Amino acid sequence: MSRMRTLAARIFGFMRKDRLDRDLDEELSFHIEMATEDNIRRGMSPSEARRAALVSFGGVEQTKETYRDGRGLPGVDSLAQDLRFSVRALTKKPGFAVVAVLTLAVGIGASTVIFSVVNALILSPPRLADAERVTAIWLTPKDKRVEGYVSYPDLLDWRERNRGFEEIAAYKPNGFVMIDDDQAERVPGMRVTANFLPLIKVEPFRGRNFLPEEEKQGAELVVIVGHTFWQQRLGGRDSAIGEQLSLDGKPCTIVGVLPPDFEFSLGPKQVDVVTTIAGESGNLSQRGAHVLRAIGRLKPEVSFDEAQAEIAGIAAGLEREYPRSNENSTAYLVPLDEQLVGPEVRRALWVLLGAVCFLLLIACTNVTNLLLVRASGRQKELALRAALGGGTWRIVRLLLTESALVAGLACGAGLALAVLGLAAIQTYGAGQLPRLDEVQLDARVLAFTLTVSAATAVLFSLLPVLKTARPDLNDVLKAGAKTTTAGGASRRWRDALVVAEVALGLVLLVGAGLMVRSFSSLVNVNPGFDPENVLTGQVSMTRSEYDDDPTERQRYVARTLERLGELPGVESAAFVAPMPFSGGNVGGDFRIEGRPEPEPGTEPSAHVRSVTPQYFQSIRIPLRTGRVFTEQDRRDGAGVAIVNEALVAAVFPNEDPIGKIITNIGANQNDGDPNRWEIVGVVGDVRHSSLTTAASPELYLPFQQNSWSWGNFFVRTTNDPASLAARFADVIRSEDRTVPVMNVRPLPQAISSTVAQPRFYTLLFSLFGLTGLLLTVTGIYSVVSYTAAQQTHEIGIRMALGARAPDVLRLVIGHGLVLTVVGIVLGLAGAVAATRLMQTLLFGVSTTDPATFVGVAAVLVLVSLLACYVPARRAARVDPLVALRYE
Amino acid sequence: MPGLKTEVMQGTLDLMVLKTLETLGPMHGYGIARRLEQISENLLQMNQGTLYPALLRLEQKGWIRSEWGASENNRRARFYALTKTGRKQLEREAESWERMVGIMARLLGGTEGA
Repeated sequence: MSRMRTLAARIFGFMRKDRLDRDLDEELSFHIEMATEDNIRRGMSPSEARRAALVSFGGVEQTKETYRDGRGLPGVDSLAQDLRFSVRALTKKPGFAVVAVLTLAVGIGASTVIFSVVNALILSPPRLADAERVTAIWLTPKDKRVEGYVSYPDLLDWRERNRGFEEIAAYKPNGFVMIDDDQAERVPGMRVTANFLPLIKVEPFRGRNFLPEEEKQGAELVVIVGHTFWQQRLGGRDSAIGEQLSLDGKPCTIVGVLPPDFEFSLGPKQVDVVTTIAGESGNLSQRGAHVLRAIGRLKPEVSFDEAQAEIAGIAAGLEREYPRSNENSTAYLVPLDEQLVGPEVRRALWVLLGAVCFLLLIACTNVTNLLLVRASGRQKELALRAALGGGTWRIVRLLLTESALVAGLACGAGLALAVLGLAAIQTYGAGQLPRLDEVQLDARVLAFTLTVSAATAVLFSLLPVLKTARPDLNDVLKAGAKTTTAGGASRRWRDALVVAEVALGLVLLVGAGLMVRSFSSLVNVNPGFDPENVLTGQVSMTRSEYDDDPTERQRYVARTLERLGELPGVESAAFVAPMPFSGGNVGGDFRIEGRPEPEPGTEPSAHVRSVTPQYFQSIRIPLRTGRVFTEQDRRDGAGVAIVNEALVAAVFPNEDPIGKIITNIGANQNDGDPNRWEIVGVVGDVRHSSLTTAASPELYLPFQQNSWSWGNFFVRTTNDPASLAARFADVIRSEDRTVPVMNVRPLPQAISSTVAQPRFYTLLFSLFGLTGLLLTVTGIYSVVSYTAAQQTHEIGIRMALGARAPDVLRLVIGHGLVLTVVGIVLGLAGAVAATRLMQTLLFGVSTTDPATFVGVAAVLVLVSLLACYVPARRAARVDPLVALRYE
Repeated sequence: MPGLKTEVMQGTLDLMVLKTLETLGPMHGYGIARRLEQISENLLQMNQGTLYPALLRLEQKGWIRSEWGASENNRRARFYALTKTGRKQLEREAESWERMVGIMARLLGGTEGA
């Protein structure tokens, strides 16, 4: 209790210092006066009396000191003093301060940016109620764990047969076509099962959720609208409930409104409308229509593994019962955070974090060197302090205060840089990284930044403090102290630091180099077609006439193609569905006439596409044998088909496919379509979903014989396709106003998204690599420069003894070169180990690619030569007489 | 006996100050120093200045409090007085001092008797 009182009293004393000092003075003078008077009364003379009084008092100043030490917070006092001194010292040598702060700020800023991305994408749980109990459910082939969608009949069976889930629901992002006053516009949203909103624990803000029967085929179509949509388009009226919207050509009744803060991170960014899957109509009853994305909420007492085993068992049961549609399939449970941020993105981010740590270490090494240089320049001053009784601890504390000041300033500057960096990431990373809107400087990121700043402060002050704390006072205070800094331990430390810096820099640069090479291999992959000078636009034929009558669609497409072909600047025009190069495929199995029924699990299958005759020439997909479709392949004629090389390799490895008949195609067959398709041609493979995955078997059917109600128009232009975009869209729109045309853009833009992610990482990595290189160069330069300056005396002697300029150059550059080479050797070893972690990020280049390693080493040597050249020239031009006198 | 000055230990100084203040009532620093010299007949060897850090300590612990007032000759001086907790502390320390004295006496003179 009295200790608390003491502390409180001390704090009070600290704050009222001046007042209390005056009081003490008064009190003590009173004492001395009284004592003096008493002495006078005893018979001493006034001056004797005063002297005697002082003697019996003891040292007045000492008393005051002891008193003050007991009164305030002496620790704080001396800390404040140290701080003031440090600030003065730094402002006297602004060059050092600026360089040190900037160097550190770059490292701190970069690591803060990457950490905030890691924090948002990997370390933060997804924003969903009780997210750990929710998993995505993938329906996949047995040997691959890749994202796969499920069909409605399967979903129903899963629901019925499981015991471990509270709910299993499904969703499907969808762009709806809303028709309002004969104007068509695209509205983003989702189709969901009736239990979807309850599963994610969202209650409608107004109105009600869907009823279970509303998700069934043929049910009345209902819709729940998003909050913003309700406010902006429907005026936020309660009376909007019950009104109707036309979605995809069908009237839907509004039954509810989503809450204002609704978010579902697995779905589209903006959700304006949510309807039931009843709108999928035909697809709902087909067990083979894998169009729904399934999620489930586990019961509280059920473990992940139990549920996984159960769902796999259910899938196996379905496989036995429905061999045609469910052959070779199983189900996987996927935790939400993995679904949101896949393992490839995670790996890339961890690698980036590692790279940025290297950058930070290089920055620290630089600053340590700067501090060492500075410390050796102050050795005399600090030795003096020690000699005057400063005490080692006080000197160390002074140095630490300076380091803390530098680190603090760097932390602030680094945060400013990080803000800029995050803004850049938001702009350039959009579309590349999931959950990007959650990336921000929150509490955890700030804690990280502060910790990193503190750690770097400790790291870079370690060496200088250790060295300065134990100087041999005698040696240092003697004249000629400079020579102790030119050679010996001091120089060895600086050299070691440069070697470390070069090694770190090499590892970083090798990483960046590998990424760049990987990226360029990626970009050079032959996609199997030529996207240049091709314009594309997506359409959706939603009027019910199109649904009911396939010939309507074919007539529409034929007429539009004719008009498109007449546009000036258009070489050829075509239509295709589904859109290639998008990763969305419709696959189906089929049979070859004349072959025995294959074993379940071995049926041939392919991605099915419907195309018009000019498709292959518009995209420049080469024809290998046979012919392409022509106008003669009409609806009432014999069915024809074209296959790609991958299909031939899989299904007709040793035979000529031309003339073979394909039947029983298990995808998108309309009434009136032929049911026998003769193969008339083979075309080259196309890489659709990404440049890194091999092409799959593809089956092309003529659009006139097998149509879809949506797809893409393509035109090949003689000149820049973008210039034709407006007229292209106009023609399509004018042919039928109810068909909206979307995403009109040159084809290269549509496919570049598959290389956008690697491009993003490569850019970042290269940025780090270059910054690291810059820092390393600066480090080499500053150390070589300093050492050469320290050696001025020695160089003077050499020159007086007959050395010439080239010899001096050789001395200085040789020193720098040796350091670089040693650093490179160490760095190569480190790089071989470190790049192994990058393996999965690389395409077409190995982690020990010799060209990259050699190239980077060569660059470092060159750069180091340049860095050494300037100080070397300066040293060589020194006048020997001046140098000899130089102390 | 003149010439035999005993040094003062810090803990005992606290006890002496507290006791003095109990006896004299509120008193300034010089007065306390004079009283200590008188009582010990100048046997105590102590720099008077060491009194003041001790007074500060005691005040920080709450055992005495101080107030500015007028001295006998109308000069401004700081007077110290015992607080209630100070009185209690004085009792406690006096007791433990007596105990200690008793033990030491037995220890140092206890070869006779048993």
